[in-house]
Amino acid sequence: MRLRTFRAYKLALAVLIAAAMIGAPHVLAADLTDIGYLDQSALANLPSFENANKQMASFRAHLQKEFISRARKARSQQDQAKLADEFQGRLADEQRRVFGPLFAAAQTAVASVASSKGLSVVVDKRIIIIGGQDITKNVMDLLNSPGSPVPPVSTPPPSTVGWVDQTQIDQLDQFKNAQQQFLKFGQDERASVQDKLKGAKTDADRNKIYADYQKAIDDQRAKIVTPLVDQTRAAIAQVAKKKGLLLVIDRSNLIFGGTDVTADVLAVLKKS
Amino acid sequence: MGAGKVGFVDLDALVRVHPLYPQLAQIERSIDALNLRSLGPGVGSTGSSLASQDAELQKELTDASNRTRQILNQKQAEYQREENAAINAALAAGGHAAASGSVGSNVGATTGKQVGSVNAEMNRDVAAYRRTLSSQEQQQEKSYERAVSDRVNRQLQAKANQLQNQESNLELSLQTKDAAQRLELRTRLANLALDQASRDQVKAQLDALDKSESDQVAAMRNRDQQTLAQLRSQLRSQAQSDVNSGVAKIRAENGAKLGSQAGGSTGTVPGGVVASTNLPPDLKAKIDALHKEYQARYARDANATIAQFTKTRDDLQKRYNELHAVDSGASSSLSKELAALQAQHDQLYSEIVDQVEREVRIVAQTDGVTTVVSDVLGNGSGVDLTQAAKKEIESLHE
Repeated sequence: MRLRTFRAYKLALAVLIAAAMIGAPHVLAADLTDIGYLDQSALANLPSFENANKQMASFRAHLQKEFISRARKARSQQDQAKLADEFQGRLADEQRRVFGPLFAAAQTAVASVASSKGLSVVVDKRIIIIGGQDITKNVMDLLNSPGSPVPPVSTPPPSTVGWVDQTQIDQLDQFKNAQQQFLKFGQDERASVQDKLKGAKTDADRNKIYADYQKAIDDQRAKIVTPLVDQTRAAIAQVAKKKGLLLVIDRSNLIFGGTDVTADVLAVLKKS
Repeated sequence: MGAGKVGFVDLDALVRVHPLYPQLAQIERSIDALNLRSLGPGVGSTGSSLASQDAELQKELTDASNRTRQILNQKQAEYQREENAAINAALAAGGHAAASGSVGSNVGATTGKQVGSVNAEMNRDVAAYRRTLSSQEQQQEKSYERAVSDRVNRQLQAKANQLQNQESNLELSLQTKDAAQRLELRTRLANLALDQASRDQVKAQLDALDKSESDQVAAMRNRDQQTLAQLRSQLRSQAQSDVNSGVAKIRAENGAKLGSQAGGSTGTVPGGVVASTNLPPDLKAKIDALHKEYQARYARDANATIAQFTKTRDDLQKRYNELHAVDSGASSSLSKELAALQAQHDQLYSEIVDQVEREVRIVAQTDGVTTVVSDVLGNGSGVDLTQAAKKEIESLHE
């Protein structure tokens, strides 16, 4: 869905940071409304993160040059693919080396602040419309202070805000098949549109081709994707009610805490 | 920290009922169409095809030029041999005046055959050139017309979006301005104890408020429609003029090339002749005159023929470069249009979300919900405020 995509796009960097933080242990909460939130884009502006980004940009540029030079000498497509894998691996290694300590420090700082404020869950700022506690400044202060942040000594009570890792759900056979089917349909339709456009003589012809294409995609989405989305929502709601949760969010919007119900949802979906 | 209810909303569903959503959807459709166009065989993809045709034509012309040069050289050498033979025969005959006329006739006949042979070869090239040029001329014209038409459509769409945005903003600002008064009137209407006369009066006030708003928006829409109609007429007139002049230019260039190509292929001349100093004066003068005349014609026609091929080739390259520039300009314009639409989309989306969130806050406060979350995958026992917020947002349409 475009709206969702747009929102996700706006904070792609923030999600990257979040992805490194969500491995934190699930903590407890005392108050159901004690939800904290963090402005991750502000966190990404910390000098340490900015420096790390510069380092990565420089490394990426250097790697790109080396890749182009070596790719020219590659004899076959297989050699090129192997080379691409090698360079992807080197890039990922460097990312871990540069950002790893920063993510670990940020994760500890968030956990420490959440613990001190008795928060059961910390989410991304962009999904909070009203309420919640903004802990951005506390976390930034902690990260800017000398020395490493100290891990919390106590754990808060369990959270009634659940979360699901949708990437795991996407790996279920029925989801993978639907995704591939929809992808192939889109590719075939685009190829067909290109052929039709060759014969289009007027703007009206072209506009009709575009409109027909859009309708075909929408219809196919409604036929293939929508039923699965509805099925997933029903499964999540079923698990949420059974476990007494208030609501369930996606893992990409979670920063700390919450209750992981991914396995329960997967189990329901596998049965259906 | 105090306890309170936790609620959630489906933000996407709320955005869809916002008064400005149709405009957002329109921008999204425009982006999709432009994205598709950038993939399709439209203006943006004609460059490689033209370059390939250009290369093909270039090769054909270069081959023709080389063939012509080769033929001219062969004929020159052949003519020189025959002319020398004729002069030797004339000398052997003892220098009679009658023999020189025979030599001149033979020379003329030989030259005529040579000219005919080269002309036939050249005419074959011209015919091929004409066919290729005609086919590519049609493609050029189509591409040019399409580029102009796309440009006009994009300009019109951009203006339409801008005007629609202004209309929606006016509608929203009027609704916001009158919101307090409308709420008060509705509250009074909801009073069951209100007598019929008072009810009618309040209803009339409410209707008048609605009418005032819709009249203002309608007046703006009428003005905008006129603006758009004028712009459409102006752009189409300009586009037609652009297309006419562009097509005329393409045809004039091609016509000139075909004309000069045909004219430039008629000349060929023999090579130099060995002139004897012991000939009778009249025979010697005739042979010298013939030699000079054919030498001059050869030099002039041969150079003209070669120069014509070279010029045709260079002009063709230049013309295709110009066409590629039109094509490249169209692609660049497409990218700019996409970027502008995306920026417009993002800004409008932010404005919509800001207003939606304001409405959600009002609903949440009314329902005693202290924390509201969006982007929820599944509901448990949290308070779903989506329907209540929808009603608030939909009331903005009224």
